Amino acid sequence: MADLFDLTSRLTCGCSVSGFEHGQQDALQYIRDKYFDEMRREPAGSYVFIRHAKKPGYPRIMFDAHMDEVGMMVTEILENGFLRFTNIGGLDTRILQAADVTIYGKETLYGVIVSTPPHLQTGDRSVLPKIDQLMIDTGLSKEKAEELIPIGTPVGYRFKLTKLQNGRICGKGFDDKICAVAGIAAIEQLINEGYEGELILLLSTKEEISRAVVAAVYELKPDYAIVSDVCCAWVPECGKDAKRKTTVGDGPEISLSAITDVRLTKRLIEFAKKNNYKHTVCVEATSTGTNANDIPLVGLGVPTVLISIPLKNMHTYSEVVSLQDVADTAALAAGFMKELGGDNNG
Amino acid sequence: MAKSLELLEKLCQAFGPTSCEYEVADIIEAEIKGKYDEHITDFIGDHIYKIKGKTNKKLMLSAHMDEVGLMVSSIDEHGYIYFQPVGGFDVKVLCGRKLFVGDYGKEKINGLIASKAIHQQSWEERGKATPIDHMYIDIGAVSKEDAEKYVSVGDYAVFDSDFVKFGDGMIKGKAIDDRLGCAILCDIINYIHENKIKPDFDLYFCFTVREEVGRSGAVLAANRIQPDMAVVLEATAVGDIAGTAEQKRVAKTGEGPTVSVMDYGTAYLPEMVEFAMGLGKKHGIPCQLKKYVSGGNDAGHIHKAAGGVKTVALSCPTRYIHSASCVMNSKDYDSMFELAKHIALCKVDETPVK
Repeated sequence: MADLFDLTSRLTCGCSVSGFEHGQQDALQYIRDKYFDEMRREPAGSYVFIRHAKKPGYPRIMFDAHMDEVGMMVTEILENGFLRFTNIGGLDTRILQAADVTIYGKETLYGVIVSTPPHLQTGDRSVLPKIDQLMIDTGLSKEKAEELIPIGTPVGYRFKLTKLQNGRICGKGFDDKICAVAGIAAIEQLINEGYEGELILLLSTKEEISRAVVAAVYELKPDYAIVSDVCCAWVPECGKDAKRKTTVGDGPEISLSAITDVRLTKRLIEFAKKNNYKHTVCVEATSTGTNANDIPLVGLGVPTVLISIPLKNMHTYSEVVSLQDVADTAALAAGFMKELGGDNNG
Repeated sequence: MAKSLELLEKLCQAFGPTSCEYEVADIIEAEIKGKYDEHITDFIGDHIYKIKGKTNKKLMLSAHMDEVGLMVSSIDEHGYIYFQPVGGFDVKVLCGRKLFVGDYGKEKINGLIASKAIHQQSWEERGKATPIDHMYIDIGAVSKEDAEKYVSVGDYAVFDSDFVKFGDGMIKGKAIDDRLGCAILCDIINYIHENKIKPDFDLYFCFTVREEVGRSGAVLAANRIQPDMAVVLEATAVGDIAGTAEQKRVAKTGEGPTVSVMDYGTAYLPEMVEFAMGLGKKHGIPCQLKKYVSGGNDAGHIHKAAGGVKTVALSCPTRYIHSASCVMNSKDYDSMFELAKHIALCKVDETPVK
């Protein structure tokens, strides 16, 4: 079994704000060298990893997880080196004040988002500021900030990957790199089991803003796509009566939706049941909110299923997942990829 | 300076919420071992180090060891940990923060304050801060019994936030309020020791407890010492961020410690304000008046203790105070050390207590 914590650490440490996924080169090279024959960056920015078939007659199976994450972008340099910024993807201002950030300018710089001291707060103190009312404190002079931080510089959460109890981990960018970790672990398992068909890992770009995954899929023309993304875990605020109570530790969640491929998904559920793979099923009838919405209608069409990993505090720097869920997702994905591999075999 | 910043880092990283200041006290004791004439402690945890002077006049120099923190109040069936704040928090700097949970002498474990994903929030919830009594800590536990293996009701939590030097001489860390004051007191003790100075005043270096809950341990120290004069070393909230009106900035980082004229605890004696500002001017040390009535500190208790004490408060301008990421300018550390040192080493007849 791949070292899931190590892979997570490698994949989440660099800059991977949507559209600026350039900080992961070391991790990508590591993955390519360890598991694949080929790596290329397609024109829209996604990274394609291919392990060639050892024998003909297998379907092209693709595992997709997006490599980008939410973040910020600098829009204006103010007096005393304070920066105005805008969000890239859905950010919650609840967690932004006095938060540490990394500014990916000409140098990688530390910054902290301002919080308003109590004496300057007027009116209802429970109202959160809007993004455009917040600033980043760089501690630099305006001149120095202008020199090092061009307008348009991406800014990401600064964080420390932390181990919690029971194999839970806490960090940022698990949406969706934790699913990339599961995909890599699945592919490693298939390699170790001597699977001889072609295996494609797609680390797609810009899911949080424009779902540029379609560009890569158009060129790859896979026979099957297994998409993996994170899903919001049940937390106490959802209430005891919430209809969907899947939470961290419950294993992978299979999404049943009219927008992906219902027949293939039902086959996956049957497969999981028959072979005792830990899983739950969630109905998202018309939209999954993931790449799995878009991939089915690329080119001449791709049969697609979505397997999700439950995650708490999505889009924050304190996302929480269970490494056991990651391992269970990898096991289910590997099992099903092998099953699909038998389709045209021989 | 480099050495002082190392000490400040060590003090800021220590686990020391109100009434749990032992780790901070241990670091201080190790730092100044053998450099004082007398060490007095009291039952609530104040540590007083006395250096004898040439006169019988007593100068109290005070900084508080505690930091704002959280106290575990209950654990639910899912293993989530509910808490009450110990000290004043802006709820808007809590959600999502990483924490250390534990107690003095107990292993600290990682946790975080949960923040429900924006995707799961109703339109009414969006744009509104989560009330503190709805927040909870996640340590990765799966049940009440599981959580109780690691955490007990009454345990504390403090921010897990590293110490960072950034920008042009800026520092970010937790608990700068008031580990900075503690570090400066240690530096003055070290300075007196290294230079074999015999001060005029009897100096009482007081590392106090319980400032953040408004019922300060400093009052017991002041009652015990009955000082003629007191200096409080603190950190003060400032609003020197872009776009803030000049009169609301309180003070500017990088322009030296503030001398308080009035805050919510004290109307300082004009002669004390003039004394501190005058001393700064005389020695060319940057310092500034605190230009806003806000906050409060141990001076509020000390100036009324033991029949009344002439008190001055020097504060380091600190942005985002009481958050995981307090920001200060390292130049202000130097200026505050210089000004406090000059006050400590003043001749008695050059001060308002002559």
